[in-house]
Amino acid sequence: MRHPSQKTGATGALFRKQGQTFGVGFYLFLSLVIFISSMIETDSMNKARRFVGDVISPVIEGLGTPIIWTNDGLHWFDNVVRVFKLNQELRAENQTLKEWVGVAQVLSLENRRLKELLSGGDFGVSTLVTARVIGVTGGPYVRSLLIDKGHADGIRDGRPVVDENGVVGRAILTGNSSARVLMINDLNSRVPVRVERTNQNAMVVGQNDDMMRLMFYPVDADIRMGDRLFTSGNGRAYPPDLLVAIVTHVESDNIIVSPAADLNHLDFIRVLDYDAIALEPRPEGDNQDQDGGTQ
Amino acid sequence: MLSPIQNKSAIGIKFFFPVILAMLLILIFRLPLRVEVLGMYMPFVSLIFVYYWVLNGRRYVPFALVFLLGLFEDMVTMGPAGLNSIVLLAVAAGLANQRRFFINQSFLVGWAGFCFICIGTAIFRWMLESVYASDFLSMWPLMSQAIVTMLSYPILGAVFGSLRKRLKTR
Repeated sequence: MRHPSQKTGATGALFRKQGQTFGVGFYLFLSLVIFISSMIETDSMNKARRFVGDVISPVIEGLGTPIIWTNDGLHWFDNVVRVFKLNQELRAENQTLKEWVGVAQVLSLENRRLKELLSGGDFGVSTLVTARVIGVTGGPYVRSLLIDKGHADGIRDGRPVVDENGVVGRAILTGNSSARVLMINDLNSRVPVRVERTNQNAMVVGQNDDMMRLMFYPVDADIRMGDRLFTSGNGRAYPPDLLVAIVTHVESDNIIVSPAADLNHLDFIRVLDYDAIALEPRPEGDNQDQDGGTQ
Repeated sequence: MLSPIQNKSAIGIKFFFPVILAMLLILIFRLPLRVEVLGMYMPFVSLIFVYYWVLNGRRYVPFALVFLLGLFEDMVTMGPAGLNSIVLLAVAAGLANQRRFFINQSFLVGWAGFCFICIGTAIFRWMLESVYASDFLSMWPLMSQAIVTMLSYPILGAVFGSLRKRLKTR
């Protein structure tokens, strides 16, 4: 005969199991609701992401401090080792630059005069703020960064972000003390460019890869390996004349370009003081127009 | 000696240690390490967390916590909100149901089981991501992440194992 406590135990286990099934069902349902609603309405999710960005940025900064110290220490040691050789190089370079100053002054005057003739504005864009990259917050289908400056420092969604070599991306989901940067190699990124040599317009399209593709160029475009691509300023997404990428592979309608910015080793970046048309931040995987035709 | 109330509150705090560790690991893997391959494909830490703790400390992973951890990872990684919660809850429920096949196994069998789940999870995530994007996305990014996750399991499993030992001995 079964002991009463055994019966109670079995019933208890059954109730527990039913409770667990209800629990997982409830949370799965809740997750599904959030998933579907994020497909329809992105505003509240973006608010949540901004909030999470602000909350985690000091934590990530704290966790990353040893890495920053190590990097800084290695840089310092490297600089000390190279300082003598660099000094000699810089003296020689300084001499050459002094000669160029005169030339630059003449060209600058000429440039200003020509701009006045064209009645065009000054396209120069100043740096709004320099920020440190504190996190790589992308996923399998997103290339994005977290930086330690936000709304309080004047950053707004859509502001262009560059490093010392070229365009990095645009600010999105700007929180109060942090912001995310959608990188130019993200699947959703499109940068209107012009080819320096021919002045023809095209579009640099991210592929979630180190390399990007050149698309939407004229049918008769003459594009060669080594061509430099600068922002065209079309669409007011980026100011004109920022270096974006260099053509590395040309094969009929498949043109591969390499970003000018060192996207895998970013430390400090500059957010430009340029009122771009703000991006509508789209989370991971939303790439409906990724296969737009070339040419 | 701790009073029953003190004892209960001590367990209450300990209850959150594994999930706090998992959250810290998620953030640590988001640090700019400036290593090209690692920068792109970081391990799916919360999957390792769910697999390890459902099999080795079920009481530390109630479904509510799995749900919140998935949502946290979605917010950090900019993934579609709710996607990781769905995936992790499905894994947690499946594992909790089939726990008897996984526990008391050798490390290699446990790792093999994890690899199997990891690949299944990648396929499931790819399906959801594709639904979200209304397009057939490339499977390669998720498979690459799955490989990194499978390779990370012994290390992160050992980190969780070390915490589990400490939780037991305290």
